[in-house]
Amino acid sequence: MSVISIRDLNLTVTTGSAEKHILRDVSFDLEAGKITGVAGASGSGKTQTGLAIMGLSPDRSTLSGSIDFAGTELVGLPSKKHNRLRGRQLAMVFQDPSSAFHPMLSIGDQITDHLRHHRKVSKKEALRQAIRILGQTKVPYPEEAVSKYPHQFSGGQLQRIAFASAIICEPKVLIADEPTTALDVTVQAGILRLLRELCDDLNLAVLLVTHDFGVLSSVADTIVVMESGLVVETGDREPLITAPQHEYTRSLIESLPGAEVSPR
Amino acid sequence: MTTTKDDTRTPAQPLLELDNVACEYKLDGGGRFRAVSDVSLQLGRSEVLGLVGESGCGKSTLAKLICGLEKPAAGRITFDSHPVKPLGLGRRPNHLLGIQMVFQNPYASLNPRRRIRDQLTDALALDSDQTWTVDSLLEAVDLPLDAAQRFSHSFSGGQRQRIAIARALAAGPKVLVGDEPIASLDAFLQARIAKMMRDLAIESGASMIFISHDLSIVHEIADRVAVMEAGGVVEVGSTEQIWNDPQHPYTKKLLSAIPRVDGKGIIPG
Repeated sequence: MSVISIRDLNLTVTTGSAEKHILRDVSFDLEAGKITGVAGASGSGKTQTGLAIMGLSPDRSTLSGSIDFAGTELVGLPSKKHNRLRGRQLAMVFQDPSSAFHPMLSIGDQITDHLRHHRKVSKKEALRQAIRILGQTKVPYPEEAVSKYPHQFSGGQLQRIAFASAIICEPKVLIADEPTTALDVTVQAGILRLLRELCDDLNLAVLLVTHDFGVLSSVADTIVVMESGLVVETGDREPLITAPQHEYTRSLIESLPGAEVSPR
Repeated sequence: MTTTKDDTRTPAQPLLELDNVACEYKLDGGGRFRAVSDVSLQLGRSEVLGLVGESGCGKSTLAKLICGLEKPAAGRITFDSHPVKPLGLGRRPNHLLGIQMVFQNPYASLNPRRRIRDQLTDALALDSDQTWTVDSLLEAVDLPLDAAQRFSHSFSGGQRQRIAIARALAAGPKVLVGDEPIASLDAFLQARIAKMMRDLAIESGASMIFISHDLSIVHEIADRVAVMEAGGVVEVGSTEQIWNDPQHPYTKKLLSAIPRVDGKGIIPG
């Protein structure tokens, strides 16, 4: 049973008199407890697919098709209703943790803002939950971390805090847009392990957007490959990586150093 | 295979030599932070040296030291038997023009108000041998010839980085220093641009220092690799030796953290 099912999603952005087709008939499903990886070069529309689910498509863009979220149609959903889902049922983690936080608000305030807004819990209770959730995402010394500020953390720790912020309202869907691209390889492994654990423990439906097949090979369950707005190939992780069917997927994987693609 | 390794061929007089170099930054609250300490490295002629390490380990500071953009706190840097002096307000001395740099962020390293042709022509004027022309440079980095008429905003990140590489080559460098030149590019472009840099540098008779946190790319293009941790070089060796038989625990940790593209679903480390 899929949590989100995307069918024939089209996105057009109008700039001046020119229309640009960003997504063309994109269809795939996100399932609970599974990580769905979306791969593609920059400009292939992988981030826009994630943003469309969050209702954050750019201004002057038109979305058509269907995104079904547990019975709710997200395409054309009024923004007030989308606001009620965003942060609560649909969560997102962005690429650059150093620009994802407000520099002048404490970590505790920032990661409980949406919790207090959606759940109307008291400040004290919110802070207690923040400490628990920071512990869950393995931020060191959570009791002290809540009163610290973003500049006092490293990139890897900030990304852990971003994950804490994303899951604090117990969402069903987590969209992670290049969550490890800005991090060192040694830190990347830790974040990927965290993503896998959160997905398994909380039964999250995860959409992992990345251009790194190394990352997808480590954690994704199914992989969707996109090229200029089109889905060119969808499949389970291992067969897709070791024996890609589509020429474009093959060229992407072969362009990586040390990839093991079986010769055709 | 472009990565032929031969550790013994470093000639008696290296092209670039760093001798116990250190660099310090002043901290806000007083005190000093030693970003690079006691680094000794040699770069031979027509050699590609990969410099790897995590963020904050001092790779970029080392690159700046080599280009004279930072003042060393101790030690000596020699390029082609001339000492490298920190750049002041004056013109860079002619004998140091042989060191050219490609920076990490191609969005910040090109002048947005000048056409590509003008920017390349400036660099071409530095090369007394006249090895390149604007057209041959653009061809070498796989860009269309009409790119010369355009401004940098009309290019993608990968294209801009290729323009930056062309501009560095135009000056006829003896040492090309790339400070994470591929980090801001797509994974699929990274290997291609890195190989392009290697081939162009070696073909024009230059050496290259290639800084990256990505060991798998460095493995593809470098002859020798230096691994940095917390301001110091912990291991230097031929690429094959570092890759197959790392000695230092930190090198082993870096290598084991690289995710394999094998579809097995194993998280590294």
